[in-house]
Amino acid sequence: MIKKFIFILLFPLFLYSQSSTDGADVSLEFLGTTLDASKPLSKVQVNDTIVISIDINNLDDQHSITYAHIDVEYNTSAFARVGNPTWKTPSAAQTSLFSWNNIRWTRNSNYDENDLWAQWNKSGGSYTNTNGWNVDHWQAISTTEFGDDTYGHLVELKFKVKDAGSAHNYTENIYITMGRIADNSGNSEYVYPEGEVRAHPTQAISHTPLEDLDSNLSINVDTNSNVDPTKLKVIIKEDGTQVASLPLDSNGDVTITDYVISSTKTYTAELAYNGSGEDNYVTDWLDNAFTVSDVAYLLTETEGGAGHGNPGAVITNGISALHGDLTDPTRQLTPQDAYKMLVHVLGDDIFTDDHFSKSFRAAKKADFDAFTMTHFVNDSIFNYALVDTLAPDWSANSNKFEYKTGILGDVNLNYSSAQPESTESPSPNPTVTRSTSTENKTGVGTAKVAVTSKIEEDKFIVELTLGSEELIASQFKLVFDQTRLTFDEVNFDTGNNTTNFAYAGDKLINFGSINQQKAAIKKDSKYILTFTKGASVNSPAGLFSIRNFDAANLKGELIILDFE
Amino acid sequence: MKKYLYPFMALAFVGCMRDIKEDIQYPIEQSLTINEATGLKFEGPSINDASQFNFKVETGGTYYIVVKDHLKNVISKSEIKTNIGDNVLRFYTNAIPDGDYFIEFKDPQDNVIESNKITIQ
Repeated sequence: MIKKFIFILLFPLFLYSQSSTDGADVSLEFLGTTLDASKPLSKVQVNDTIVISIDINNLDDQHSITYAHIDVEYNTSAFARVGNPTWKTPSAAQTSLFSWNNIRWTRNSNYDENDLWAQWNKSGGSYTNTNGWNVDHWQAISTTEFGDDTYGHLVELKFKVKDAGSAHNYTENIYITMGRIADNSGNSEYVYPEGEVRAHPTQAISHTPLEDLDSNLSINVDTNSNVDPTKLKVIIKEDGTQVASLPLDSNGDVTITDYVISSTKTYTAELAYNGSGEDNYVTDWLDNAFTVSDVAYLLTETEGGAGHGNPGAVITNGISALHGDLTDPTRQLTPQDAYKMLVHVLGDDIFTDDHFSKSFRAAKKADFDAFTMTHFVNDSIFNYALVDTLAPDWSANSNKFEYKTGILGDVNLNYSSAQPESTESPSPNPTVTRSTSTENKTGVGTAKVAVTSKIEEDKFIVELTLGSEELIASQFKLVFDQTRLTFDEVNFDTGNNTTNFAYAGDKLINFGSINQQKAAIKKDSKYILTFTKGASVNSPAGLFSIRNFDAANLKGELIILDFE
Repeated sequence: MKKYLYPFMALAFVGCMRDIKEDIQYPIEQSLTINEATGLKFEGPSINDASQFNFKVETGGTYYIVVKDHLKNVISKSEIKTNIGDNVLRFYTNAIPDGDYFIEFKDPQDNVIESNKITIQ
């Protein structure tokens, strides 16, 4: 019983011990190309020169390898062996190479194909005349051991990769046919026996080379400074199948040379959100881009709008118009567009789901830069989407695919790429910029907002007071310490003609007002937010912060709020 | 009837008594001790959630704590009631992004009484 137990316990060790004295492995090891040692085999192109080593791995700790001869055949339509081989044997070793043209090994079907010594030593296999195949016979003998480590290369070879035609089958076009390995260090030669000289792990190279396309390909995605490009990625598809998902760097750049590799296949690039952790497209970008000032701006353009109204003449920028054109009929800015935007800002999410794909947009830089209000009105074709088909100029040394981006609802373009001034003056004309830790905003003027907070018994109260009489819209995003406060309500004291809104997330409250009656929100309007505080909270310091804000004047132009 | 009246009156008397207020004076941590008559001291140049600070004043009353980001934008403002002398309170940071901030203590006339630059981690 004890013996059985010990045997079971030690059985895995027996297996391991057995494998460590199990002859020798011979393998073809790919070492990149002569120009790029790190290039993977899958990226090898026609006209590359690849480096292949014959690797011998001695698994027998009772013997040393001092002699080897290995035969390798290759298809001459697919490969031409070039340059001088580099022997990796000890310096005093005697080496030799014999080559035969138009010869191929007929495999010995009585033994495993990777049983290299049996393939040759037992009857059943033979070399026969075969056009288009060559065989090299690599032999070395040494007084000192070689092939004594995992990567004990016998010899390194170079092959020029050829275009054998589209009908050619590249399977096993470089192939180890047979091998003899021996130990001559003792009084008599020890030949590694049949069954113990195996082609492993790689007996053959079967790669179908890529086209000889040497153009460097890259993508650049331009974004507004409020949009961090590292939170975007590009998905490359080849004939509809994804071949890469590549994040942009901080400049919006990414190299795609390794993935767009054929002139006959169709490649597309799709922009996708790549935020992680607490990143959130909706709260970080969309909700900050699509705000009440955008609604006010669009309302001034459309019939029955807020402010003084000036239908058809307020929005002069084509991209602005596209961002506000959210309802049918398209390519017209209508009160229905403004109404839909208002619905969204008031808290009814018009995108529902898949927010990025439904609201983020990109276009080729040249198209984006050239797009005017005239193009918008005339319904000119404009591919403003997340997917574009890549059509490289393969004769060029490099191809750079450049895009610009925007967000639907961002009518005043605070989260969208800029157009060149030569296209059309972006509207509204910004004169004031305010930068915070979370965003930059530009507007035509400023308005004061008094803010304070205090503890009253078990409540924490935040109060904001508008100090301007020229605002028709205001919006605030306030972050509170949700570990210590529970949000109760917002009380609005903004006048009778004002539409107020508020909705609360886990730790962020979005609230504000818009006057749709062509009148300003009354001066000294107040927003009073009430929270219930935890019993242990004895200080108001740091319990809230204002994260983002937004406001518009009577013309629908963006106003920068200055808190005091 | 009297046997019910006396206990009831006794309860009412006790219930209407003024609470005995035990005004415990906790010692101020050494790191927050201010030797001068007035001053402001945080636990260090970097603070985290619920760190303490000491705002020492000669005149008690209402003051405002104003938090400004590194671009000098006001992002938070709070009213506090102070006593004469040391006022040790907590500064909560869960609602404020990590970064450098200017903290100003102002009187009701908007005069800056004390200010400090801190890093929230």
